[in-house]
Amino acid sequence: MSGKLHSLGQIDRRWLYLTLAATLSVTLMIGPLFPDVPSAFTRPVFDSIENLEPGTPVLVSLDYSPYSAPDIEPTAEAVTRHLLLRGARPVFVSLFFDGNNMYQRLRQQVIDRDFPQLEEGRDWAVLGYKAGGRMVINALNQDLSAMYTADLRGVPLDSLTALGGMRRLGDFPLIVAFSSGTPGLQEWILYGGDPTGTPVAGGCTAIGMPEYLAYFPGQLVGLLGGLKGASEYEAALAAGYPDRDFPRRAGRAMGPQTVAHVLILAFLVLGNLAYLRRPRREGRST
Amino acid sequence: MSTSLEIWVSAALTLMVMSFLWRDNPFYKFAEHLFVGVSAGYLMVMGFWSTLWPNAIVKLVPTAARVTDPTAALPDREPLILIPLFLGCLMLLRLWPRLSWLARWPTAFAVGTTLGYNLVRSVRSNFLEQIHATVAPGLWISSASGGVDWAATLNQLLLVVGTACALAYFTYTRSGRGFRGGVARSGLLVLMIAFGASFAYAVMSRITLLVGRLQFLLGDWLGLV
Repeated sequence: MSGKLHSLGQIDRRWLYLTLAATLSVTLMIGPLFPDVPSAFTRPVFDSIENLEPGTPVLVSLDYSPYSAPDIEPTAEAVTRHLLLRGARPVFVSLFFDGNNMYQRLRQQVIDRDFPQLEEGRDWAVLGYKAGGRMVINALNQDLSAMYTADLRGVPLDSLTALGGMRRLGDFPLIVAFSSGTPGLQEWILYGGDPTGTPVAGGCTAIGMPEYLAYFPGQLVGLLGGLKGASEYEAALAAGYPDRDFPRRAGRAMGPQTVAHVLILAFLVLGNLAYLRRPRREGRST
Repeated sequence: MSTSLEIWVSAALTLMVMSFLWRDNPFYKFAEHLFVGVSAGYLMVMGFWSTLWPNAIVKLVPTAARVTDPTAALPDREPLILIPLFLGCLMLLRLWPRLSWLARWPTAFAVGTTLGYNLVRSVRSNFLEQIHATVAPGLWISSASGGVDWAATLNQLLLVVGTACALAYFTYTRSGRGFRGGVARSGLLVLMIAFGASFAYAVMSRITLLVGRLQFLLGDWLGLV
């Protein structure tokens, strides 16, 4: 037994990669949908959007790029879907120059697919990317028109009914920032939410969770972290709107995610057992 | 299986990058160099058209707005934009050794303004608010029914004690022996747990990216999912 365990430590790492890839591929093809429950970080975001009055403008910042899209785009899709279901009016901005492209994907996957009856400018608005990071947020605190004179199509702000008379950041009842780095959620908290008192809800990559959790619950309404946060939000949406059939993009991806975690844990246990069972004469490197 | 050339090129490049897991090879090198080159070109073009053009060129020559959008309203001319433009050009002088010292001016300006602007907000949001959030609820949390919420209370106790222990670990002015040493070692344990959680989130994030790529290969390319 000891010899077998020891030989495990000699396995070429490429077999582990192959095992992981094969297991994930099979799980993806089976497509299991595990039950999920909104956590204490997810539930407040869902509730704060659920409590919005229909017609309320909500500032939504898309601060991510294609690189982090698999981690954060499902969150943006689920929250945008919820905002439009509630009749709220998302006003999209971005601090990332890829933000406009990310909006186009979001529009195709959510607005055009599930809400074809809605009209841009009336039911939602797209102000788009502005360079400057925290300086943009500071300017929005003073006056929306200091940064934006028109939307992405060139329609003047005064003609956008989706804005509903919002003149500055503090007028919005909620800011939702989807962030994969800097500038992003931290800037919205420091320069947007804290000075104006506007509640900030966040969506971030899983790797960003430890950084942003420090702001919850005082400075953040709630936090949706990576695929898990998106999956929980989709589950809350499915429970809240059982008559609507929305795609569970994050929920479907959580199957392979879960299997990968179990596999990595098994590798860790076996690797440590092999290490502990190695013959004394080989010594221990560290 | 996809019939789109774009999807096939993306799939081939994905497989080339993944081939590094087998070992370093010319296909990986090709994909790596292509990625770096395309990324640099993309960033430069996006930076020019989304930042320099609207914020500098259009503000100096308003009719330039019609280059990207023939129906765009002409903005007012803003000659003051010449000052940041001049500072930006000074930054580029770093490329000429004889004049590179001039690049220190815009750098000093950028560092000074950023520091001045951020200091107050960072101290308030990242320091004072964090202390407030840690100690304000007190050690005993009441439940809605008026009794003690034991789970929340235990959580709060752990938070306060863990924070104090972690801070003690970074106190170097006293000897690390006796009771203080024990507290500091507990702080190290708290830090290790925090680092472990951070690493677990990092692994989760990377697995998500891998799942995203596999979804693309098996779904968009091969049509199996």
